[in-house]
Amino acid sequence: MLRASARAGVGAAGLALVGCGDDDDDDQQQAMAQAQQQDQDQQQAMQDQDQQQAMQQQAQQQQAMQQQDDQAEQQAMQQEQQEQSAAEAQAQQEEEQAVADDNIDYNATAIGAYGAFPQILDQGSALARGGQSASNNYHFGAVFPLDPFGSAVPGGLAEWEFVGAEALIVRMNEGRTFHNGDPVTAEDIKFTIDRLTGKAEYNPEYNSAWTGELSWTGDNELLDENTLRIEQGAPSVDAANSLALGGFPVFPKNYLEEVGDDGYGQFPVATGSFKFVEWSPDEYIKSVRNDDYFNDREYAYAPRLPYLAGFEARLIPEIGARVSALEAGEVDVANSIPPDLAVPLGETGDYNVFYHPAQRGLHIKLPMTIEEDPYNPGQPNPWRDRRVRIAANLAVDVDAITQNIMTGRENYTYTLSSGQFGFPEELPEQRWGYDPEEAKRLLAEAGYEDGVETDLIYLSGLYTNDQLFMEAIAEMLREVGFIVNLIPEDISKFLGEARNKELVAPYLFPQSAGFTSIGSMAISVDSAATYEHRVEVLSDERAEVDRLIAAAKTEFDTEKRRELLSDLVRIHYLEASWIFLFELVQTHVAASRLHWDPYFLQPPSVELWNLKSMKT
Amino acid sequence: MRSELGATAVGRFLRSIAVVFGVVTIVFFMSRGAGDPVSRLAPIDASQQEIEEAKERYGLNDPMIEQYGRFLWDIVRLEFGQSFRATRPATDVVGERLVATIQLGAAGLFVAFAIGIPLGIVAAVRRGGATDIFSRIGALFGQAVPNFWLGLMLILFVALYIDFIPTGGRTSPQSIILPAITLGSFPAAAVMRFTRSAMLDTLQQDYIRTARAKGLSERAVLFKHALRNSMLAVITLLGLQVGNILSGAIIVETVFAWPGLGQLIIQSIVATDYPVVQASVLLTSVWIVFINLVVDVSYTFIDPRIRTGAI
Repeated sequence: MLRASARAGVGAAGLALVGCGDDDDDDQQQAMAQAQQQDQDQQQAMQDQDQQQAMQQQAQQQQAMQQQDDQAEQQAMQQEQQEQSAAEAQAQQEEEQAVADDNIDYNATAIGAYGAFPQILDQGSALARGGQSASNNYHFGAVFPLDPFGSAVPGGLAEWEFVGAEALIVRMNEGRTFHNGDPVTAEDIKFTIDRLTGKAEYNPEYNSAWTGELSWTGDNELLDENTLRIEQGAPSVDAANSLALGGFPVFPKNYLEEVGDDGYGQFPVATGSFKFVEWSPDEYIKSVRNDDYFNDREYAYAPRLPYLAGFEARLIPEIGARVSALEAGEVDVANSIPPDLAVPLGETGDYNVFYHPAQRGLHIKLPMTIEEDPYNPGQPNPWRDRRVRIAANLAVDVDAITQNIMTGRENYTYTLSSGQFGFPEELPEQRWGYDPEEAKRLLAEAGYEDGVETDLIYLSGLYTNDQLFMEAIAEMLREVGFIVNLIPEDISKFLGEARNKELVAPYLFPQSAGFTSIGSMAISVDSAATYEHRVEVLSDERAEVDRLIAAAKTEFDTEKRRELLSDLVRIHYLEASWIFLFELVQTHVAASRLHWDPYFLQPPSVELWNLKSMKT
Repeated sequence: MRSELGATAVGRFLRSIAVVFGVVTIVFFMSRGAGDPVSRLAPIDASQQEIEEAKERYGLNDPMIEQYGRFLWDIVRLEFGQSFRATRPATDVVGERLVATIQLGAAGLFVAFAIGIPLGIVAAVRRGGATDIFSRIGALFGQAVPNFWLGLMLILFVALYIDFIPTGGRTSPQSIILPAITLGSFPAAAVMRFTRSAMLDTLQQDYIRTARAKGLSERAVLFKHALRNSMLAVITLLGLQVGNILSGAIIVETVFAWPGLGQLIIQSIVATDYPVVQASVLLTSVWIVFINLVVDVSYTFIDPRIRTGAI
């Protein structure tokens, strides 16, 4: 358009220069003017035509450009779609490849056979213990995750902060929910602690299984809706760890108050990696994966988001029937199978045998705090003589027992396990080995050439092959001069007598599992512990043990605490305070079609969050 | 006549009550002697004070005679208290398992009679023949083999090879097959022997000879005359076998993971859960006594001689 206007201006100026003349020249001038006008009209027409053509051309160009742009955009979109499809296809292919490689079936449901079931599914209740850990603790999740060494780690329902030895501050993490979708709040944590310590208003008589673990708690107070302050009534370095113990339950306040203790025991709503679906007592417990579980499958610690879509626990009390159900393909995992049945199954290649160190050191408690010999009134108690206790340890060939009667994978126990916090690494060099001749010499030196008369009590049928290994131990003790009367006892009778401090004989007992190093020592070694013999007199060494336990409980400096624990274990072991035996190993058998990365933590059962799939 | 029948029924009913009273009394004192339930159920680190509080709560610190009196009064009101373990009424816990045990018991009895009666008849009719000998050997095995062993053998040699039959549990209708066979094997042997011996006795009676002399078919003689008259002994056995079936169920339910009363009783005894033990034993004893009462009374209808006082 601008170019056409310029051309018209130049033509008019040229005609004005040519038309300067006389009247004779008017016609010529008029003709010339007409001619000029015609030229101008022609030029104008040409200009208009040019202009139109230019406009058309421009429009065409614009259209073409637009089309090109559109085409380019379409091509880009197509290319993007193609790339996206290719990426999706590749991802799917990779996923399929991963599934093919790892046999991960995210829709699989596994069935596990157990020998015992709880009567209620409330993990907080003392009445639920015995079977509970083997069947439904995966419904529950602690406040903090726990590392394999018994220490709380970040990334759970909440984070924590110590206020010296005064209090523990618990700050809730966002996005944590119960199985029913309700958010987990600081008020729920407060309610949980109140319920487990008998302070919940709705039922102060609740029979809690966790009073010991929470004995450090004092009053607690909600600072705001996300923050709870728990006073340390009895300062403990294990305060945070106790809220991280395997299977520690966190209860939804609103739901529990609505359904009551009885209702909760029948239908638990919690925070664990599996959600409870339904159960039939002593028959089955069905659960599904908690897809909202906050720690993904790559999280460093257990529990994590499960691979399995579902899990069914079945009760099969009889061991042979449990194995048969596994062989018939009715169940995928059989728990607690004795080694004499498990090992041949593993040798077929169709099954994998898993050995789970339960960190429960079996030992024989010696009545060294009782003053008089119960079998020879008026005489001093022989077990107060360190030489007699050492002789008893030297008399028992623990390795022969584990190799020939147990799985052969049991570790010798030194009170704490090797690897547990505070275990003195040099202690195994000072182990009481099997030396019957030295045992006889020590007994003679202590003045017991004619032997030491004693009963030896054990709980019949509580542990795999317990009758066999206790008979072996009794016979080994007899070989060096102990006059042993082996007594199998019923658990109810035994526990009652032990609590009432009526037992005066040595007795078989397990180190308590599920505790931190200090907690474990306190409940197993402290002379005031529930199942210790009655205390009539303490030796200097026993008094030192009690003092070290009390000091370790309140020592917040990690290294100093480690040293205190090491000293404690050293004294306890070298004083031969127990007859030290071995750490229990539980044996489970799983069909080899299960893909499973063993990652053992509490509790002593197959870790369901690691079962990935079934090859059919 | 009717008053005699009524007096008989009332007399037997009173005797049944006395039996039940004796059973519950024995169970009460025996369960108290089995140990302290609180020590078993309390947390491992519970203090002595907590133990004492729990005992007080359950009334276990009261004098034994007081506990017994309370127990009898509760029975009258059909109250057995809360299960120590399940924290629910013991009657609820027992009731949940009762259906499974009745199913298994009925199936076991069916197996016993379905096997025992035909074999007994055949053995009697073909006395001294191969069938008789094999039946008697089978009966010997049935009564000699412990049912826990038979159960395990059936699992090993049947369930593992026939996919249709599960090794245990109560997850499908066919789950009952093996436990019922195991449970029914012992009473089947008894039923077979009783049927055989009753049939042999009956077949020698004059009226059987008469029936044959009348020209009745052997089928009619056997089933219409001989079997019917032999059933009195077999029905007597039914009353006895109900008790056997219930006691057998305790083992069979454990072997086959059948969630019934037998398994519950075992667990409750181990855990010294008195209320559940007492409720279970009372229920089973009442059941056995009731069945025997029904059997006793039914004689009078089956055998006219009893009704008329001829025997």
